[in-house]
Amino acid sequence: MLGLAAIGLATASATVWRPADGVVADAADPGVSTLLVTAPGVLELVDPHVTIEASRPDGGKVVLAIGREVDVTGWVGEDAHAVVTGLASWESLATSFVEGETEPVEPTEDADADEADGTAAGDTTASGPSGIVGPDPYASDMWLARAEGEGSAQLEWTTPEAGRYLLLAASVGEDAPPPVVTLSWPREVATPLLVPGVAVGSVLLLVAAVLGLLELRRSRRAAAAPVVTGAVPVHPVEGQPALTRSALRTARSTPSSASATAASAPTSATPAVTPAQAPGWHRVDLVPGASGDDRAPTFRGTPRGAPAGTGSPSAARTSGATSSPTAVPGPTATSSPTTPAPEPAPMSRRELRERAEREAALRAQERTRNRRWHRKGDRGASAPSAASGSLSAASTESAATPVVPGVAHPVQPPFAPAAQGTADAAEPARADAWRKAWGFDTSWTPQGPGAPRGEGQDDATSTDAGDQR
Amino acid sequence: MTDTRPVRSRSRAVLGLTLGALVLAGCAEPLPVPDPAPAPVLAQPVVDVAQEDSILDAVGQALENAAEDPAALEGRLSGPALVIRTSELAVAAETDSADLLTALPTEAESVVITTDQDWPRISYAISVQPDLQTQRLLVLEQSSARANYKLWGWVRLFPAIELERFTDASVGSSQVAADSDALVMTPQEAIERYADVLTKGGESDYAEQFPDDVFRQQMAEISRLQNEALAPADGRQTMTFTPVEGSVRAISTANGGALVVGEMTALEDRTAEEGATISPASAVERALLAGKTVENSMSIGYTSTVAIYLPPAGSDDQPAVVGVEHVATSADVPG
Repeated sequence: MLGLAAIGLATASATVWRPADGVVADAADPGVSTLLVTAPGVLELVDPHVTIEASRPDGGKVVLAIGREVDVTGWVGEDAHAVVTGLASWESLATSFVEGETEPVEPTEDADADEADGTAAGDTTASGPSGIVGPDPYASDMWLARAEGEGSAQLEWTTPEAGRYLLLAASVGEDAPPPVVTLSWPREVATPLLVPGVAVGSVLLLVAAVLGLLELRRSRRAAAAPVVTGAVPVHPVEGQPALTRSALRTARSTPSSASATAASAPTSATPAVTPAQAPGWHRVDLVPGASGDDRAPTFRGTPRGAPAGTGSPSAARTSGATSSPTAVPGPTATSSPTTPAPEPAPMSRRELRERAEREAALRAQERTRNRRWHRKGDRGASAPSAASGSLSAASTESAATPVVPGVAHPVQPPFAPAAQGTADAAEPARADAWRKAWGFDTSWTPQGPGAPRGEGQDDATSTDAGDQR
Repeated sequence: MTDTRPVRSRSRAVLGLTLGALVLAGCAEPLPVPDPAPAPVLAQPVVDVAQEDSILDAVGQALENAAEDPAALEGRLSGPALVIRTSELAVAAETDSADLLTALPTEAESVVITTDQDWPRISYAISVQPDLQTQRLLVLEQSSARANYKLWGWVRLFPAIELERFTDASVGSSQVAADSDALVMTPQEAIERYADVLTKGGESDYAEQFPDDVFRQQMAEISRLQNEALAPADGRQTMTFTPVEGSVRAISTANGGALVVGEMTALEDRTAEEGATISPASAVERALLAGKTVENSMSIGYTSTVAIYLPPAGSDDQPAVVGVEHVATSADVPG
């Protein structure tokens, strides 16, 4: 990008050429004429201001004169002369030759040369024995500007807006070679690409800078929550950063479902599950989107989750709860309530194992589901996947999606109390939730309909379901 | 994404370079082609006022240096002006007095510039007033492209005369041909008729066509005096004016008329009876006759220029003579 910008600027600057332009014209073959005239319009060809130089190799008198077209043409009359018709290139003039009708005559003894052919009453045009005698235009009253010199002459002229003006250059004297005339104009180089080039270049630079900043920010964010590739089967849906291994460990270890997966509820809406519904389970302040580790960089400072797999599952749970796998830049700036909530009763190893298995199963299903449906902006949906595969209730956000409720774990709260109770109680409750999600008769229970389950559980479930749906 | 980035930037660089090269190649400016202003529809003045002033300066220089450099005079004077001035200089040298030289200021009060592009080109200049004398009307002429403007002639304008106005010098006036029919009479006719009037006085056929003017009165007076002086010697004096062919120049005035300037020669014959002696009447004549023995007759040649205003054809106005220059330039004795 920067390269493009540089190219744009370079192109623009490359079009700035030298300011002055000089063109040189050589007159016709020597000995043929001593006069050179410019065609109308040549003097102002590049710029109204022109610097004229005439020179002759043998150092004789050279005369430059500028006059009106009629005057110059009249003065030249029938004499042979070269005519500058325009530019042959930026460095040379185009000339043509006009044959004259002047006939060289033998020089006569008497000074009266008026009878010479082709000459008017002027008395300076006669031919010498070995060539042409160049007439001298310097003294004429008709010129608007004139200059003369030995060997070379210089003249500066600005063409008025109206009128046609010609230059007359003459080598004066016997055997005068044709004058060599140089016309120089100050050249205003049109650089049509300069402004657009610079504009485009600066725009590109700005874009590059902005993109660079964004990249930087993104990389920083990524640094805070480095993408874990490979091992962790995390589906980065909806911009959710992958979980760190510790977070995953934490999530795995904790009864995520029971934990404040709700807490892991994505930033935006509060997860349906609130700690209130999980009485006694954890008094962690389930601030939606409470940060944990793996949170957006804003939550860098948050403790990196509870010591995974430690002997304090509750602590882990808490941290796990607080961990919000949502990648969404935590809108809720509240740092995770690092203070571990009062620990719920430690779970038995069996419970932990079962929970782990359930988690794995759920995770697999979640992954499948997530791959099938991409719910844009539904960070809540991503939460479940991130949340160690737990189906966070937060994902219930989008009640519209039928999957959500399924993904959601409305029954989580019920698990909480169930967790308090026996693991067995929790199991059928979960199964029931699954059944509901898939459209089965929810009333069915292994024990039969109307199993004496905690009212609260059902209510919670129905409530959740209702909320979700 | 990370892998493709360098590749993309490389290809972009190549693309950019290609574009740049193309742009550079294509942005070479085309050669300009001469595009002169179109030839003007209206004829333009052949010289501008600045040029005219410099011409007049050059003429003035030539006149000033004439005493030391008579050859320079020929570069800036021609026609009757050259003749008159040369004669005056000779007389001045002879009489050791510059008083007889006609005062010719070349500072112009106004100039009249023509638009005719062909040669010969003419312009008028009305000079400022020299001390205690009337203004001069200077006639400048460029006979060909390679010649310079020269003072062809001048007239001393009559006192208290009001010249008909000309078009402004920046616009230019047109020249009038000697045989133009756009005036009450052709310029050539005007000069011829006036010469006749001067010669014959009141008996001329054209006496009524020209109102009385100062010069005519002067001539009449001189003739009377001369004849009176020669009468006792049974002498006569005659003055014959003859127009010079091809000397008529005319520039049109703003109202369609023209100011015509023409050259005449005059011959004054003074004869007395045998045995009488007549003497030159003026220092000029004396100078012209230096080295000659005057007996009973002499003839003096004059070079004259006259300026006549001719109204446009169909006008009720009469032509008016506005100025004359009449200088004795030669003298001879018969035998």
